[in-house]
Amino acid sequence: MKLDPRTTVAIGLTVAILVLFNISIIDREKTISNGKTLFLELAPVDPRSLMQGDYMRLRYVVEDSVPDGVLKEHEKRGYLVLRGDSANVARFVRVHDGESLEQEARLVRFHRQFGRIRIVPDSFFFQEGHGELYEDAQYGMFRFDERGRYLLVGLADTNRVPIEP
Amino acid sequence: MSPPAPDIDAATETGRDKPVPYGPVPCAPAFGARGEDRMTIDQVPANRRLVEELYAHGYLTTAARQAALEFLNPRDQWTLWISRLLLVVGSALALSGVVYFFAFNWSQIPPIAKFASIQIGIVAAVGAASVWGLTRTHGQVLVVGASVLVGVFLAVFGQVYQTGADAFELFTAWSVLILGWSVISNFAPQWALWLAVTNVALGLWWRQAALPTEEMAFLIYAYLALLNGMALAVREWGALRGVDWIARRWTRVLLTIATLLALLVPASTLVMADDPTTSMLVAGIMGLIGHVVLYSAYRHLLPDAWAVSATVLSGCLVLDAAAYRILSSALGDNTAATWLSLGLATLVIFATAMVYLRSIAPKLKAAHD
Repeated sequence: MKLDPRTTVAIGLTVAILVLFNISIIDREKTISNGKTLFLELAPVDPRSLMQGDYMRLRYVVEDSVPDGVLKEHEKRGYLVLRGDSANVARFVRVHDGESLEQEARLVRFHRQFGRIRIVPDSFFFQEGHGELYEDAQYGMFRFDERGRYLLVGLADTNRVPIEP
Repeated sequence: MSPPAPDIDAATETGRDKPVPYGPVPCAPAFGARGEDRMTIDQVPANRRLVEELYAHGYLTTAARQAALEFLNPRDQWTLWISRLLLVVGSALALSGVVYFFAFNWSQIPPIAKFASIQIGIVAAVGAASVWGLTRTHGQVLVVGASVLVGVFLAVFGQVYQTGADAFELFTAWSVLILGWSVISNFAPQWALWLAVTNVALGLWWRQAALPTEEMAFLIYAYLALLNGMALAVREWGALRGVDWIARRWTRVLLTIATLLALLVPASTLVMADDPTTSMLVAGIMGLIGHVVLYSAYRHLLPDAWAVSATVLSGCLVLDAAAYRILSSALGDNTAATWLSLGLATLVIFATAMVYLRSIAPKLKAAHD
């Protein structure tokens, strides 16, 4: 079968897209399997946004540890330096200012809106109807790879046991 | 555009009585040809009414009437239409079925299966499109389907691996990934999808990454107007060069609406603002100039009654905003008087626009034909 040039290009683009997709998947899976776990304690959000369907808004306790006045008015995005304690629960160290990091310190991204710090991801997705399972969640489970990239991999209960649907 | 007039001479050969004379002579009396305003046969529009009247006056046999109607409205035209309609509705339903399938079975499907099935869908769509050929509608619709699936993949990816990435990153990636397919698709709906995704990406980028100061916040409308205005310009350029897939009427309608919205919001905000910011001034003035450009383009260069009407009505909304500003500052605290006079002003503005549009409509129509 002889393909016309446009079809050849279309197939080439498709291959490129799929390669890109699968490299990203493998990359993230590596982070999940080899990454180090850090628990971020959840602050109660009242009311929890279960009405919004299949996701939950998250707030983290460490967000409140950022002292007032550290951030300038225009700083709407940035990184917090956190460190895990003996139970791998994250403690606030300082706001990151470009300096190199000591061993075991982790960077998490935050957004600031109306003066409030929000660590992202600040939402957790689950299937519609599974909201009840997650009502008692106490921790957000993060996994960090050696390059410092991280994922929110799930929510955990008071004993830091992952909640599975 | 109407099809060429049927050959009445030929049709009446089998007729019951006198043949219709040809050339610059009065036509059948049913057309009301009176003395001086005689029409020549090539000025008579060929349509169903003409055929029926000729038949009613006995100039056509039943067979000739049937042949003429078949010529004017080919039987397969509606089947073509319904086939297109079913193609579009079917693709839309199949795609939304895919989306609901994933939503309903979310936690039962392991991530690898989610990713694999979307990728298989993409491969199947592009594969089938290659077999059918990208020059045919079926193939092109399949590429649109593959482009939607790329968005679905990115959404699923963002939910399985929660990195806190901003939504603009998803839309930007989507826009970049399907750009190549759009370029080779030669298919207006594919470009419409791309443009919609890109508009959302630009808007979200502005809010989530560009983080403008209040002084600069309105500049996004200038960007959106440029994006959609450029798309409209490319559309008109392509249409003039005889690229028929881009010259479809709905592409002009869609792009004109998109461009006008991005011009209308800052223009009307500017005329109402007491203390406009820099970006309000820039985007607002651009909005006002944009209205003038669109108006002159569709009034003179590419006469189009619909596009002129849309631009004039959008301009009326800007004028109305200006009227509100003037009246509320003139009448001050008297809100009842402000709103009453604003109502009257609105009536005057829109009525004037209507009268004007009706007066130019015949010229535009003639130029368009």
